[in-house]
Amino acid sequence: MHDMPHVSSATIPAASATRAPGMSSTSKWLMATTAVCAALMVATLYLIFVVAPVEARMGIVQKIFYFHVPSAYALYLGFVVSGVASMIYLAKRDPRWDAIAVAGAEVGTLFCMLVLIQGPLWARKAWGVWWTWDPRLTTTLLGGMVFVAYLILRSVGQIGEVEKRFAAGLAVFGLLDLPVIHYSVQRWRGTHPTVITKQGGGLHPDMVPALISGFVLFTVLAVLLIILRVRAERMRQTLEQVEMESAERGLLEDYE
Amino acid sequence: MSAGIARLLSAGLCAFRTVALVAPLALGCAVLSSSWVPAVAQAQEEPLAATDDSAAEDAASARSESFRAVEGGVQEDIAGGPLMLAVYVITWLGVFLYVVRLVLLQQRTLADVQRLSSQLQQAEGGRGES
Repeated sequence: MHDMPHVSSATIPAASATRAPGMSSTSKWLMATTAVCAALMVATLYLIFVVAPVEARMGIVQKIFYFHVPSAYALYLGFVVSGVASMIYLAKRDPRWDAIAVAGAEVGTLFCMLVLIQGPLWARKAWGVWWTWDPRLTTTLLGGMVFVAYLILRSVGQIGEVEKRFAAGLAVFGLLDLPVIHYSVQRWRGTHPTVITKQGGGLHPDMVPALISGFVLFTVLAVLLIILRVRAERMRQTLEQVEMESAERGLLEDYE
Repeated sequence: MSAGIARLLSAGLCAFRTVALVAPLALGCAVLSSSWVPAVAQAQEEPLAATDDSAAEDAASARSESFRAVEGGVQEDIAGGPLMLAVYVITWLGVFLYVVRLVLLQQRTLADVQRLSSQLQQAEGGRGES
């Protein structure tokens, strides 16, 4: 194991944090990021509902676009973090990368689920159906199912090294799906809009600020959630390691 | 107190796992049903012209051949406002629930830290006495 503390009652994780009278610099940084996130949310909603005009053909339902596309971007971000961290974990076996992979998978899956809910709500109005087996929709669903399988595998309790490696392989497989999702609208015919791709007609100039603000908001949000999840996972990893080493030294009698 | 929190956290974790298992299945079922229902409804709208057996057979074969993919939007007026509102509510609800999960995970870890800390202190105290 890498970078795990040597067992003693003084090195229990978070014990120092719980005793600290003030906030640590990391906590302050997280609070500041959360505040930035809240401010961005207000600004984005203002740009979406006040500045951006209503789309001529689709009407008000087009405003789903300003959350749907950034959510999909956050999905990519989470899954890329998970896939890359899993590859590094498979190479180095460093638990820090495993924690990052878990965090990326969870946050990516969260945004994938949101995208798969937002999309059908938009499609109901635009296409008249909740779902169609469009290449992008299908590949996104496939990617989401891969990472849901990853999370189910990781949630079965205290898993061993073999299960962690298997899960990491699954995340790498999920990572391979991302280029397929991205280029599916360009390579295959489908019904999914291509407004902001090279083939698309582009956005009205007044719609651009809302979309950019949405991208910034969801990027900050995804990064913040990933960092928080990594911290929680690292704490659990350290706790499990201390518990195990304490039991091996005979300090814990009721260790199972 | 800590045992109650631990039970609560355990129940929460159990519920999360159940949701993680059931959600993909429910999503898959919803996807399958929503994509097939319009096609079935469209087929049901086809008028039945034949009444005798041979004609009914022809009609049956005609029905089976009349399934076709959705082309363009269905001609009906769907209010976009509620759909848009649902997207914004669901998005923030999803993010909020994930933050709640992170808080619960943090609390559970903290409870485990306190339990382990007291166990180690007891063990060290026992060794000191002996």
